Amino acid sequence: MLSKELRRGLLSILAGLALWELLTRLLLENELLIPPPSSVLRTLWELSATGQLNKHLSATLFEFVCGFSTACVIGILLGYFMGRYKWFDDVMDPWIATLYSIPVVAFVPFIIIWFGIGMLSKVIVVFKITAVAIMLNTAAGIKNIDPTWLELSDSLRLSPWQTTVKIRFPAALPYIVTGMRLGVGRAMLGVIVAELMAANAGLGYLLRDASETWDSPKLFMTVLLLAGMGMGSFALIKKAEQRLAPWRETAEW
Amino acid sequence: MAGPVLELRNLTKEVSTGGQEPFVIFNNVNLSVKEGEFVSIVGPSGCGKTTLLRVVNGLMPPSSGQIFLDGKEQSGADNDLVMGFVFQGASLLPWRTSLKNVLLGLEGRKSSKEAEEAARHYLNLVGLSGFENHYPHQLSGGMQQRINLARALAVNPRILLMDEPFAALDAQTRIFMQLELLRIWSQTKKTVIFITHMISEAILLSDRVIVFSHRPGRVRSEFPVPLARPRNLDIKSDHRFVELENVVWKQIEEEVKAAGGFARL
Amino acid sequence: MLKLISVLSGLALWHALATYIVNDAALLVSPLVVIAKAYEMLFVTGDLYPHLYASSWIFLQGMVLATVVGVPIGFLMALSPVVRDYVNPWMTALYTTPRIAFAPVILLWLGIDLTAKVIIVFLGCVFPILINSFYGMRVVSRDFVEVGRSFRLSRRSLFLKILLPASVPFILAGLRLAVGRGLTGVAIAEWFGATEGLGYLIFFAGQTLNLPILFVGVAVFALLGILGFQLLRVVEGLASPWRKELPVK
Repeated sequence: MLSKELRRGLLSILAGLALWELLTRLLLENELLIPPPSSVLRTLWELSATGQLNKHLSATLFEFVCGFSTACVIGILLGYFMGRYKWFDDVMDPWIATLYSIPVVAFVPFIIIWFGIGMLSKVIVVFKITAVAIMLNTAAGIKNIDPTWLELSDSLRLSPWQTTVKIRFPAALPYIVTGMRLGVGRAMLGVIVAELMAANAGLGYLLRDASETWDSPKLFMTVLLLAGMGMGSFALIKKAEQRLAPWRETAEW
Repeated sequence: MAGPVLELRNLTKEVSTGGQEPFVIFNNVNLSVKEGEFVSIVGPSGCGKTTLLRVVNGLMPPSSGQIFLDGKEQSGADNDLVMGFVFQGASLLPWRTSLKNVLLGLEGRKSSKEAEEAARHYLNLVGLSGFENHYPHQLSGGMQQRINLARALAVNPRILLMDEPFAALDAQTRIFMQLELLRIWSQTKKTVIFITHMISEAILLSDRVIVFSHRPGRVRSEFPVPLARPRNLDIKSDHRFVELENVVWKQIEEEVKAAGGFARL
Repeated sequence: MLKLISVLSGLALWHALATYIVNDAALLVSPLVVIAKAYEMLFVTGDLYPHLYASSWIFLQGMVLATVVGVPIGFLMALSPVVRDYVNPWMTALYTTPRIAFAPVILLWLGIDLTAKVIIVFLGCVFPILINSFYGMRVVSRDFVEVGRSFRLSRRSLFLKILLPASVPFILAGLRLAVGRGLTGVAIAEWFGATEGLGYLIFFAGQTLNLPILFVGVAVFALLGILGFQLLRVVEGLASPWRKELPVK
């Protein structure tokens, strides 16, 4: 039996879709403005049959996964050092903070100029966005550690390595995961923006293609795919959050 | 002397837990309080004292039983502020200054001039004249609880309900606040129901000490306090004080054991 | 001190890299060139102002609209579980989808006029505002609500004196988060079809490999973001003098 919240949610989604189908069929002659869900589904079917869909989807996913995973490793490492060593923080902070405050869309053109229109530039966009978010959060987590815990570790005569692994890192973990969550959302946007600007494959490319050819079923399909990807990655990160830092309440969104 | 100002008859509170058996917080509580009386309720942790106070104040409905005020049965929350509630912890609104916090219950009930006069009067009574424009976070824990008390007194309730008001204070501040409460009570002559964990606090302050059983809570026994007023800390060495403290402690110890022992606290 | 050295040596490195190693104006230009260009656009030709005005206007309208819509919906969701359960799936879907996906749809429906752009900005900033309003009202301490009820405040007073002030810091934090997203929205909206605005400037400069203008555009964007963020910090301090500092999400 589903919970009350879930039942209402499903009901709400189904009712919305039915209404959409009904309204577009009855009221709108023109499929250009809002195609009914059924024709969006048909387009999805057709594109996946020709292998088109697979190509674009895997391009975007590949770029995302590559950039994200390298960003996690490097972001956590650099963030750790920023949190531990004041001089390193002083050197890095102005640059990282500036990078962080530049809107995603504003630096994409640079990356494309420097790294070309292929996959590399997208990987770098994802990397940059995620790494900065993780770095800032990791550093904050390491800095904000409760001094009592460090005293505890001293009194137990833990080695520096043990202190890092058993005290500092777990203490910073919730922050790190927060950085990852921020990174996911922004990096997703970044990769689409980059593909939209200049690319020959990917969902962003598909979005641009569909909007330039006024192919609304394809446009809506892409939007729905992106929505699915967004929700999927958020669900994943939430799961990861519960696994990695179960002692902490997770955010609802 | 007329009848009791507050009377609880067979008051029971249960909450449903989703399972078959409802969770009984307190059961068949009978209690009557006279005008101007200071009554303390002590009992083991989790015996439902705090919930009882909330039900009496109408913040939660009882599951069964009746509450009488001046012999009239209450149904639902009254609107005329017969009771003032002094909360345990950080219940001052952080966005309001001291004065504004005390004004909370007066706004809309009195003209703003009268309301402010009353608020200043009670701030003065609790010894905080001059702190009208301070925000709660600028005040110490003891001062915050003084304002909490002033806020409840300001609406001039007949009954003051105090829910472990000094529990969060350090031991010294707590003793000073107990003495302050004795002074303020002697000046205002309110009827008070005072919840506490601390037996000596209950005896020092009250005319009568009620001992609650473990959950589901009910009145296990009650003891009149045979000590004259005005009181000060000296009475703590009075043999009657010490004896009463021992008797009450024995009872609470029994209740804790019956509930599963100290380790379960 | 170390920070200053880091910034200065970084800039020097950038300058050296641009002039002596890369030496290609289509790939990298020295910070001096960028500053000269910014000076020119600000004080000589004044080319920057129309773009700045256009973008700011869209941004402001979008933010105001997002506040007016987001705060009440957030409150409603916090106060009524039924509303929350029905709205929640749509919210999650809209919130987690990369916002740029909506831009072509909106332009398809509305064309490339001001309304479309404002709506794109609106979509960017409405969710942090809505979510923070929701949270703010939901996490109002039970103690505060009980205080209000013990003084028998009316529903109206309970809302105005307890729930609303308790949520204000959260709403402001939401606005602060919305600044960055709103600016991104501005850039996206202006990319897709506009003849002026900072987004257009960046897009145009990117396409024509005009790096000095590109740098200036990005710098102005970053400055606007920082400015908006700090401004709201100040407002937060003024509006909630009782609070020390809210964590930045």
